[in-house]
Amino acid sequence: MKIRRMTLAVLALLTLLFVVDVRYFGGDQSSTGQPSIHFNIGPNFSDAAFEKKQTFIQSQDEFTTLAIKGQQGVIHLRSTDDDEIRVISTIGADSQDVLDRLDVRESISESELGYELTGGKSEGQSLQEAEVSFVVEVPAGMEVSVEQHFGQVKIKSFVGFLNLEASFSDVDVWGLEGTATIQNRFGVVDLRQIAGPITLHDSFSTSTIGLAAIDGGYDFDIEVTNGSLKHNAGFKVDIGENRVGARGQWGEGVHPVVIRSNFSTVTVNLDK
Amino acid sequence: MKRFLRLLRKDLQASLLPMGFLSGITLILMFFTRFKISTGGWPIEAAFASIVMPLVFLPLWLLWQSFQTLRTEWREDTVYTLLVLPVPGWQVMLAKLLAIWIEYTVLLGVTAIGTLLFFAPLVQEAMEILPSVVWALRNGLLLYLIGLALLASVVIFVQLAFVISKMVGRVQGLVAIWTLILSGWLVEKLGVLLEPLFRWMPKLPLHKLFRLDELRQGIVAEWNLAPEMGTWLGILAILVLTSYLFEHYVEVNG
Repeated sequence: MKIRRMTLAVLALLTLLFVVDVRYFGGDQSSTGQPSIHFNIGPNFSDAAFEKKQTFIQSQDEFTTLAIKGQQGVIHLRSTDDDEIRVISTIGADSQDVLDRLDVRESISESELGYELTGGKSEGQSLQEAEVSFVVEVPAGMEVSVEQHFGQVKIKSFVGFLNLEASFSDVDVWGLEGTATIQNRFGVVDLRQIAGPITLHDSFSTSTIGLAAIDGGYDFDIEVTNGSLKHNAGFKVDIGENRVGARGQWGEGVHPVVIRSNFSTVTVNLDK
Repeated sequence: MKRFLRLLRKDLQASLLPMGFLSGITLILMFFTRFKISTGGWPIEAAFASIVMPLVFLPLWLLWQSFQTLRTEWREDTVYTLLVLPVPGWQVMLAKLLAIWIEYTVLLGVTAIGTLLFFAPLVQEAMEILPSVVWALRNGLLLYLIGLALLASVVIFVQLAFVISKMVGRVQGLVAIWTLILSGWLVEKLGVLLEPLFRWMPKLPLHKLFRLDELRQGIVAEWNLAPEMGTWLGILAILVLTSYLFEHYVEVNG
């Protein structure tokens, strides 16, 4: 009986303390008011303490292909009527020491011109701590390869051949005349006013393909596995086990639209 | 040791039926979801739901089980035998905790096997974004161990609440719930009060432990252990207190 009384007394005392704590101290979670686990994803390069800009200008002349490799930043790309290739790179880092070791390297290999971030001696370490953004202007008709991870790609009024590989990135293309080959994983692809053949391979993504009504029309070859397909292009959809396939033509069916998608949502909009 | 193992076996035998039932339900749910996705009846997102659903239900079930294993002793009058056995109270409590851990492991394993069995393409695609299979297994193991620790603390709270409730004559259910709330509050306050004593402890770099830089550069996750130490000591003290009360003062007729 004694222990029973003691138990009840302790419970009553704790209840009193609990009430006092909640009533007068608001039941604060900790003495510091800070969570015990501190979580931060990536250095905040939008407020990067240190930045370095480099400008590269090349005459198109013998170059047929431009290759851009980005990471974490934003890649802006557009076509111009000039015959110059202009690339402005901005490297961001959270310390001057890291920034000093970084550069955007220009490489020339036969007819290909390339730009990517390099980090000198301690390359691996420095690259991890930095982001690079590009503003790229290329002559119309040129082939451009873009590789981007953990960032954004914004392409506007592009005329030419586009090869894009992206992961964990947002891709926005507004106006493309030419051929596009896009590989995307774990991202969002929003393509609008696309005029020409397109090949899209995506997985774990949300992709919207807005096709402009052009002469020659489109030949659709679409296969979506473990995902969904929406469209207004009038092609026939074949639903099978874990997959949705679509074949069909619009107009004369000259320009192929090939989509291979896994675990993604694909929307095809045709501006008729 | 033999006595402890006997206790453990007894608890495991008691949970064998519900464990088998839940494992079956999980696999049937996954099979059915897979079937519906295959026939186009359900969207692919249903696969995630059928994997997540058992994982969400699991902690709730184990919370109930930790209460139920003690309740059964009273309901079936086996508590008399337990108390007359030459086994210390902490071994009784630990055996029940271990049985819950095993149940958790089995149900988690069944969910993992079901996922591999019925949603292999999904796993394959997911593995493509992870640095390596070793990385996934290592982090999976770490998460599993963290799950065990969290589960242990919950079970210890429930055991105390139940034992305390058996020490009062009336409104045992209410006393159990109130004890659960109070003990949670108490250990949390203990953590706050003892925090200055443990400020010398370095922060635990979770991003290094989980090798998050292999997944994505720039992730920093650090765990300040100082406020946790008092809480953990409190939970340990609760385990000792529960065992002591169970062994010496619990009311078997409650």
